Amino acid sequence: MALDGALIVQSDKTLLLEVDHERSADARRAIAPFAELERAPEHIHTYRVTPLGLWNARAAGHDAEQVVNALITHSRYPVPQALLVDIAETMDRYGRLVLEKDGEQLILRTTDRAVLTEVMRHKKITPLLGEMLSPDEVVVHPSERGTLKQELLKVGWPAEDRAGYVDGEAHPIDLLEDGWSLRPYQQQAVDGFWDGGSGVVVLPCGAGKTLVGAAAMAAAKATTLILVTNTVSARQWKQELLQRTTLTEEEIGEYSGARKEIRPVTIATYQVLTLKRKGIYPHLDLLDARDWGLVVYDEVHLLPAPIFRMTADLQARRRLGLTATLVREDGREADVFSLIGPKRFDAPWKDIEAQGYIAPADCVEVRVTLTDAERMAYATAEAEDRYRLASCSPVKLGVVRTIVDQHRGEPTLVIGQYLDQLHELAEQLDADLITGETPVKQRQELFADFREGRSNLLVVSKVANFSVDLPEASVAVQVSGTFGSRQEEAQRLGRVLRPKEDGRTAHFYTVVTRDTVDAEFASHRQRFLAEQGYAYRILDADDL
Amino acid sequence: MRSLAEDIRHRTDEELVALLELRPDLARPQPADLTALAARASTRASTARAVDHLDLPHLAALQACAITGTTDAMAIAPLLGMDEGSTAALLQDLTTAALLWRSSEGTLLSRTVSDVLGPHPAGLGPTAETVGHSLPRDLPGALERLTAQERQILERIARHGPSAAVPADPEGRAGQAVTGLIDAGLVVAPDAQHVLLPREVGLLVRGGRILDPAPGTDAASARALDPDDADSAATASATEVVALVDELLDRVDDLRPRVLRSGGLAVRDLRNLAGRVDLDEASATFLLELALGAGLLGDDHALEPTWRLTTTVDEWRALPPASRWVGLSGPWLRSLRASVVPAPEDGGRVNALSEGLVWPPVRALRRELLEILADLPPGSSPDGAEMMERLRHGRPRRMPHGADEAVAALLREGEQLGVTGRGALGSFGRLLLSDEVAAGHLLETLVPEPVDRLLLQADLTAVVPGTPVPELAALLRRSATLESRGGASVHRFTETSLRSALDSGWTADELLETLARFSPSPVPQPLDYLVRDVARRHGQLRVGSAGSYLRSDDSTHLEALLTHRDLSHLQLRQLAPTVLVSPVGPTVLLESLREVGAVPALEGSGGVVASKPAAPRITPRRERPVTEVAPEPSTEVLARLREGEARADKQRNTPHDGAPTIPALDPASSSALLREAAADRLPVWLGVTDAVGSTRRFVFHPTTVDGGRIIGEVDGQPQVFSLHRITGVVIEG
Repeated sequence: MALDGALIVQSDKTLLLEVDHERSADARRAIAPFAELERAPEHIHTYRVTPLGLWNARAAGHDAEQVVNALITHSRYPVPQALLVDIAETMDRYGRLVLEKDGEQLILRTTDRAVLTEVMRHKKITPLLGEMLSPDEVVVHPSERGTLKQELLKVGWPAEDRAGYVDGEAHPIDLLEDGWSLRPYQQQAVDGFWDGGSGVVVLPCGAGKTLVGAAAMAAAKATTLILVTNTVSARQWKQELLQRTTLTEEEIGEYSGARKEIRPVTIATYQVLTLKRKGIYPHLDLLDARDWGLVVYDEVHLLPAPIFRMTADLQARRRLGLTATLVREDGREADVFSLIGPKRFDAPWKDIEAQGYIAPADCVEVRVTLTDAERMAYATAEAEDRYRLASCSPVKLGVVRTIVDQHRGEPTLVIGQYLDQLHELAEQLDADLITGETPVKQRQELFADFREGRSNLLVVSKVANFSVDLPEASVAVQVSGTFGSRQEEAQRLGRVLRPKEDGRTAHFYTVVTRDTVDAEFASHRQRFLAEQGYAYRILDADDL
Repeated sequence: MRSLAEDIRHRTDEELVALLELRPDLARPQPADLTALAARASTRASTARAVDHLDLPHLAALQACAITGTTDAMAIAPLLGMDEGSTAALLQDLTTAALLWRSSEGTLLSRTVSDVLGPHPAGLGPTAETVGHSLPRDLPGALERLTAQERQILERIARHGPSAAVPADPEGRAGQAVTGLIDAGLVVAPDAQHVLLPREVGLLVRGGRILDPAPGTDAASARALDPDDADSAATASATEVVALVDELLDRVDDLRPRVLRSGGLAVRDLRNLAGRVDLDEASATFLLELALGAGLLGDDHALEPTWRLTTTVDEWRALPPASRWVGLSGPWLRSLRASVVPAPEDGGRVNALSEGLVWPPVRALRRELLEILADLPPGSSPDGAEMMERLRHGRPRRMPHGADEAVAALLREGEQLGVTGRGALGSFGRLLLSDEVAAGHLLETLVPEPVDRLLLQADLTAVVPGTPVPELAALLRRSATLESRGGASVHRFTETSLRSALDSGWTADELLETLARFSPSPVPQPLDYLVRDVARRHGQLRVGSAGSYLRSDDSTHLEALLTHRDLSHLQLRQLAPTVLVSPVGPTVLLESLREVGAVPALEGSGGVVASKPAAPRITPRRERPVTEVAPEPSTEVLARLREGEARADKQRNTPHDGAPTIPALDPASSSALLREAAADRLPVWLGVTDAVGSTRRFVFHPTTVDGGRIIGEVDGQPQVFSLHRITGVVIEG
């Protein structure tokens, strides 16, 4: 115990790391394997020790002694004994049950008969298990590998999956590193993933997640299925893969609403997979269409529930999840852990920014005041209409114009939720509008114009949230959002975080209406930003 | 020497002092002389008390005396498994405590002690000879031939008293085993329902001794920690418990839980409080009890009573953490309240903070547990079972019902409180037993210095990297909500928390200035904005009270009334051009306005003009009838008084009948002397009060003392007296 340690252990199992402390980097390295970074504002970063995190650490080969040592070494104050005991006990639960391959059979083996007996009596687990081979071994149906892991985690006895992976159909893939190379953190992410077998890599938007995916494919050198959120994103993946790897046009297939190509590398959308006709998923065969060696999930935090169920059947394949945030609005983080895999890499946004890989950003919340008539209308509105009413206030138009004028010449995005408002904005600002209704072809043309500087103002709807690669947007103005969604905020901020060629600071504006639910939701979203270390300022519209 | 009284009269001063120290109850209240002291020492109550306070070796020695019928160390030593010297020392201690007494024939066991030890001392039965039973010749061999089940039952009977009930089902496994034991001649069946274990067999099963070796005599028994580790764990718990109580008090202040009619805290409120501080119910109960013990929490005794913080809280909060800890742990050490008590017989549950948690044995248990730990080398950390064993060794006859749970709870409490750290007594915990203030000073050197540094962050949180100084703690308590506690504390500023700061009289500027003073970096812009934004809206709506209002569409008229000199006593205040308010009631306002010539109309609660209310009628006073009592004629009263006086005189003048002076004794002492006399068949001089209050003295031959009655003979005639009529006893001769 060092009385001047950088770490303070709290009784609610959070760890506070004083960033400015001289040994904070050591402490961060020591606790990173088992603690989740929860908040990273300017002075004190908060990590949380959760059972999932501890099991993650066990999965990565750390034992309780290392964890306890890390805490005792770096803690400024004596660590509560109960916490240490709890950590040891929690970590001890991992690995009592092991999933192993025995010839062709999948076997759940235990070192503690009582645990096996306990889980076998569980009514959701019993049907997943077959014959008992010995008091310590029970056969598992191979197709239930994922479901079993999911259920075991729920009852608090996570199984260590040592059953390994099938290699899949080999296919030569290499990175084409001409004039560029993987950034150190990308390399670390790929290594972390590859050593762990399966898992999730958390990187901020703009930090090059696609490249991590490409590098993972190059490591696997096998046929790959890539699951993405939508068609636009699929095209971008394809483009990036063509550019950065030895793959050629013929080797990459797109499996979407429009095209149904199955090639050594196939990019499919979540939408087409989860399409349901007459109670069945007609495109599910894709998962078995080839002997995939790697499955990549883009934007894991958006993974729809049916995909989870399908993923349960893919446990023998290597799985890589990519995301900017593990926060799921539906709270299914545990399913990500048990079905895709533990978190293999995570880095605070600010750290990557400090290394110059993502642009520094200036976040500003601009508060507008409703007119008296609007306030009256707001006060008497039904609860469900209030958010719409507040966020679509006409006073925002003027403020947006002011902001756009201030940044004349810089590539600017105006992002919103409500189409009426966006149409009006586009008209007033004399800018092009992209919504879900815009045909893909036109969308791509507009993006190309924007990218090549022929236009520098676009009004976009929710489509901009995901995987739309808009290079060099340096100003984003958010006029309305999906209530308090934190991951939407993360995505939108990501739009402006790609590093600028001239090292310019990115600007991220949110226009909110004072004293309404709009401001409440905004504060919820901003908390996420602040926790990621992006200090934001609040300005009154008049002070702009 | 013929009696304990004589033994005591012949003891030296040192011996008597030792006796009084061993048995303090003998001196309370102070007896008149040594005879009375001896009499009191031989009462059953005092003897039982003395025996109950013996530790296991002394008790076993006493039992061995009772079993063997001798006080010879050499005869007793094998039963105790000790050498002769230690046995003799034990016997000497027992003599000092007047449980054994020196007669001219040697040391004897007093009769009352035999009574107190019961018919089966040390759980050993009568000898086989006494019950007319013949044992198998080869006793050890017979034992060896038993089946496992029989052996188990035999050991059980040997351990838990010499007799046992025969199982209801003779064909069952236990039934067969018992039959087997009877057939083997190892147990006797005095009747169909019971079996009795003869002394010889009992002793053999127990290895020939009635005293198990003392726990922990082998050095490896107690786990040992580095005392520094124990200290650091204890310090962490101590800091934590102080912070937790502090936080819990805040939650109580928010919630203001009601006091149940039975005096406790409702289960629902307890759950609520526990949930708010993220603790289980047992821990929350303990913390609440700590707060109650420290006088930080109390019942406000209002019409609808609620639990409130006391005035002590502010003083307590202003103290340094170590003193705050002493404020909690000192009362805990002395408290008669337990956070876990044996379950009530009706199966109900005992509410936190209720009188049901008063459980007097807990104080001695708590103290003895800590003393046991204190006697071990520093850093020893025995587990719960070993502590229980050691406790039983120290007080074999005083293990209250439910002691197991209580001891487990006490050990847990000690750990939570930081008196122990990882099961070992911490250095300041050890000191707490003797000197609370010194314990506080020692703890002060161990706890980290309170910090006056506040790290303000843009996500509207503030982190104090340590225990905050009281001023900072007070600031944060008022302006932020606690989000996480431990080594540091994390606070979050919200609109609500800031509003309550403004409610308590801060202005936005003051608040920001104070925050800036504690923060090494400037106040983050979002926090600054939030504070000002809340301040901007604070007080936009205002609530107040008034006794009556005055409204009129004619604002000029109201203006005139407002400035009217004769209406100044109404303290009219203008809320709006057309509305005035006054603290006086509407009737007074109405009258006063009429007096100055205005013509107001009274509005009812619905806003319509109401007629002047008739004065409410009251119920007439009801007269209470007086009971008349005719006084007795004074002459009669006087006559009775004179009669009584004469009778007393006569009694005083009764000629002396050769009786010795009989000292006044309390019933317990009289009864003890009478028992002794009855047993020795000695006559006594008895003082007896008769029905009218006069005292008779005569020689009495007691035979039995039983159930508050003394049976014996006076001049050859059987006589029975009630013990409460006896004024004193002197053994003749």
